[in-house]
Amino acid sequence: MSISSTATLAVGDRVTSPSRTVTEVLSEAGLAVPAGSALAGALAAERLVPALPGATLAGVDWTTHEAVSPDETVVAEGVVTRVSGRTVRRHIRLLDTTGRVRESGTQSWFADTELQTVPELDFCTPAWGALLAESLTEDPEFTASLSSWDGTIGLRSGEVELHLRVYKGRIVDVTRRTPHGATFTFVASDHAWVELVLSEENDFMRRAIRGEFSSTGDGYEYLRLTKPLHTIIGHARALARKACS
Amino acid sequence: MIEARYLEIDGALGFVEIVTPSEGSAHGTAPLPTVLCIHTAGQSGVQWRHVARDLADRGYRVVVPDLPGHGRSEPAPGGPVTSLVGYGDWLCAVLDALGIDRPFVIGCSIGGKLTLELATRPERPLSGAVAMEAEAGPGRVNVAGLRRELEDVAGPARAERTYLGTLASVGRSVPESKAHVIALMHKREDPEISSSDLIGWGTHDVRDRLDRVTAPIHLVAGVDDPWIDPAAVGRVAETINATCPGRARFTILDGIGHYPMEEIDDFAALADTWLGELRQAGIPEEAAL
Repeated sequence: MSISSTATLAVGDRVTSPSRTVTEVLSEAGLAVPAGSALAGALAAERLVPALPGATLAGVDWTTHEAVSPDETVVAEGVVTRVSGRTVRRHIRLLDTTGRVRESGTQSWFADTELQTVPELDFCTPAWGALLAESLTEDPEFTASLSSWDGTIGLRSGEVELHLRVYKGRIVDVTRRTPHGATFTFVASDHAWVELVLSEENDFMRRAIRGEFSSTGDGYEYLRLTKPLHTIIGHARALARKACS
Repeated sequence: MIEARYLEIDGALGFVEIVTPSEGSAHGTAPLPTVLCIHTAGQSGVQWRHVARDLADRGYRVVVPDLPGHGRSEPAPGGPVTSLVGYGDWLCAVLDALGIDRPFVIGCSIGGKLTLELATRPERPLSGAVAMEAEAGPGRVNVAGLRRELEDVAGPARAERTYLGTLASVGRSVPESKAHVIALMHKREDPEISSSDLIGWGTHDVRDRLDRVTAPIHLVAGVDDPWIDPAAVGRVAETINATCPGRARFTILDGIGHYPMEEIDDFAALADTWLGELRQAGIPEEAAL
């Protein structure tokens, strides 16, 4: 099977499989699933996308949006969303011939050796937050937009959450959890962060309109801070570009 | 030439621009086909300011109203309108007041939905319709959230959200400076009116009336429009053609977002082509009765 893939393990690494029917892929692997089984797509995706080198698959969290049928032709796409210590996470999408995402999920891999973590791409961790805060502090657009604000902006990537404690335009603390919690938290999946930060253009608002993000906490403050959030994403993108250059 | 009119409709003044070919344009003495141009949520007829003049010079009588509460029209006496059916009735009253029968209609966003609304009223057939950036089913917005935002205290940072939201809705082919002007113009909205319009967007549904489309119709979707699913717009054309073969066509615009008439240079030429095709398709027999 010919697969185009990068050999390194870095956030943003992508792989796209050739088009195959689900039955072909499962038969080749000697697998048979009961008719109508929701597992067919997940198993096909796992086999379409090559294993990560030097790592063992530790788990899969899979969602079926519209189950693929055995005779359908599908393509699997994967993108590495987190590399931290010995943990690697990869998001997988199973698409049909019209390009619709029919099934998707996240693989967790355990690497044989410690991997290099790039803080600029380790979204919503304290190390990433420290770099982000340093960058934002130097941006008058950000400080001016929050010059009368007192609160905590939460940023979450998958299960990882970070709090930026803001007082009158200054970020006074970067921490996993502030004592009073976040005023609101901007929530996006790991793969949404990858797309948001590594895409060619800043399409934060386009994705927001399409409903790709959610929030918890004070929804009013979340909407009120649209501009600062747009600025934050801009800085997160700049950090990522710097790391990738 | 631009004629500005205030029409008394339902107890309030409604503003409408009527644009006809410039002096010196060679269009003979034959009556000009009338095109009703409908603006998007929260905006006004100013969105058609460049198109209307150029389209008129191509041989049309272009009618551009400001919906109630928008632009230079007075607010609706009953308060902000949250039903696109209500706007549809108002537009019919505008056509009645101006003595217009069987117009062509072209609209975008809620104007696109209003085009579908008007195109599915057998009692008032059209000559042709161009519905842009609109699906037949309810628009994908949080209607409950929009209802909360009708209270000003719950409507946070509207200007920034409109500015950034407009930039995000403009197609990738549009130069940054042009997108900036479009977004600045959109910031002129009244938030209560805009939220009401979007409630209309999120609740309007003509899917069960698509078999009643009274005229040739052209559905248009920008690839970069985050408010709609272009494929769903294409399916509207398929649904219409399933019952009325050949009545609908579908165009997808690469690099264009939610506001084709503001984004595309010389949109009038494109609209003229589409309208010409609709004229060639002719009025369906049953609508002409």
